[in-house]
Amino acid sequence: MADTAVGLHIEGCLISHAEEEALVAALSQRSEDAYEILIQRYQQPVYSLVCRLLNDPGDAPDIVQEVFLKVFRNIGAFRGNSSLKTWIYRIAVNEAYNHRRWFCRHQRQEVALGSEEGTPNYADGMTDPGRSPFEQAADHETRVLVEQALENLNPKFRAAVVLRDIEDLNYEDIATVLDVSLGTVKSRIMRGREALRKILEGRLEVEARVRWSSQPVTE
Amino acid sequence: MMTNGMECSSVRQRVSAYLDGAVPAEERRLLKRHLNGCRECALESERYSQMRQSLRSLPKRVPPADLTTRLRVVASKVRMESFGSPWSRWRERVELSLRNLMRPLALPAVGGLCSAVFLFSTLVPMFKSAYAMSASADVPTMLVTSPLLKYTGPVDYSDGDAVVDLQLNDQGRIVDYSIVSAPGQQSEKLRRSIENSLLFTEFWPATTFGRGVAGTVRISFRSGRSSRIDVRG
Repeated sequence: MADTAVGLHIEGCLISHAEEEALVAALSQRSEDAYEILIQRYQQPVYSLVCRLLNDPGDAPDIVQEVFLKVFRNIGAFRGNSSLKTWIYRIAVNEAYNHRRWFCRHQRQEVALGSEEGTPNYADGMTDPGRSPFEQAADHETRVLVEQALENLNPKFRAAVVLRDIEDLNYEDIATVLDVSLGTVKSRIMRGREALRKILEGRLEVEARVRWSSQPVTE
Repeated sequence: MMTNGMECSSVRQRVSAYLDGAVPAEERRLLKRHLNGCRECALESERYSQMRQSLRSLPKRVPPADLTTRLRVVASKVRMESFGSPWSRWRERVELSLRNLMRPLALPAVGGLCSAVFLFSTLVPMFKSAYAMSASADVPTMLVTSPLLKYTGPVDYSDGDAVVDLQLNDQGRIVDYSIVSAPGQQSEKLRRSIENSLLFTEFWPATTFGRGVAGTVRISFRSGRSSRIDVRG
């Protein structure tokens, strides 16, 4: 089989340049296995990114579907000037922006329906059996506060902070994804963090006191 | 406030990039020295660092279970779009629709055909005409038998050897006859002689599955010192 010949058995988080080239070549040839690898590798990161760029995570699956459709159709336009991940993230960010613009234009009325069946929220997967229920509750509270603070952030700053602090992209890659200069990236990250710090000011300190009181008393 | 050659306001603008390691080496050295000497800026740096840690510890969002399937469908569509001309794609689509339409019918159709063949091969002897069966040279079986001579009257035949075919009804009675071969020309005398011989002759009828059916027998008349009739069903 052609796919086996180019060695498309890519596992783990890191992907070498040669493996990425092989994957892109196989994608250009419309290889079914290459599509599957791409889905398995990038479905979760793209979904996570899109969720945090949108105000309504319920729309994220549709956006992710659009992102992958564009990736599959336009893989021929990928020139390798950046990494494949950066290129995909750029498409994801643009799709999320477009959705936000559409959302703002149509002024959709939001109705709080809670977490729908099969739509996980950020609280999923938080359990840590090594920690006490009290500590877990404190962690949970912190995360909820941080998630809320992110949602209240200006979308441009939010994208920069999410790409840097959550997706762990370097400044150059963020500049490529957002299609802005390196200086703008620095500025947006700095201002985003500053805004986050102001939003969270006081709240995390309360949480810190709670956590301090939960420490075991030693004689 | 100026500490170690840098203003606090300038340091706080750069502390975000400093934590990411995105400042030049010289500036980094100055910032480090300032943070070591300025408690306020060090606290600010610590707050940023703590916030980054909080952001990094946010759990990954888990995609819904059906997203993978949706993406596979998208991939499949894109692959289909890329193969062949629109005409061939249309043809493939029609073929696929037909195949999907026929697949549920294929098994019942083959089953039905096999059943029909089996039933016909089993039942066809019952519908076969009794005449055709009795005229055939098949070996009689328990299910299909040929006519048998039941009794005959005294034979007085002396007109030469003759062969006669008799048509029998389902009771075994003679309904017609035809002379197959006779010595010389078929004279009125010969005909009368044969009819007299057949007048008191009766047969057990041919049977199919135990039921009497019409049939035919061939008999030969021989004249000699002692006249006799040979019967072959």
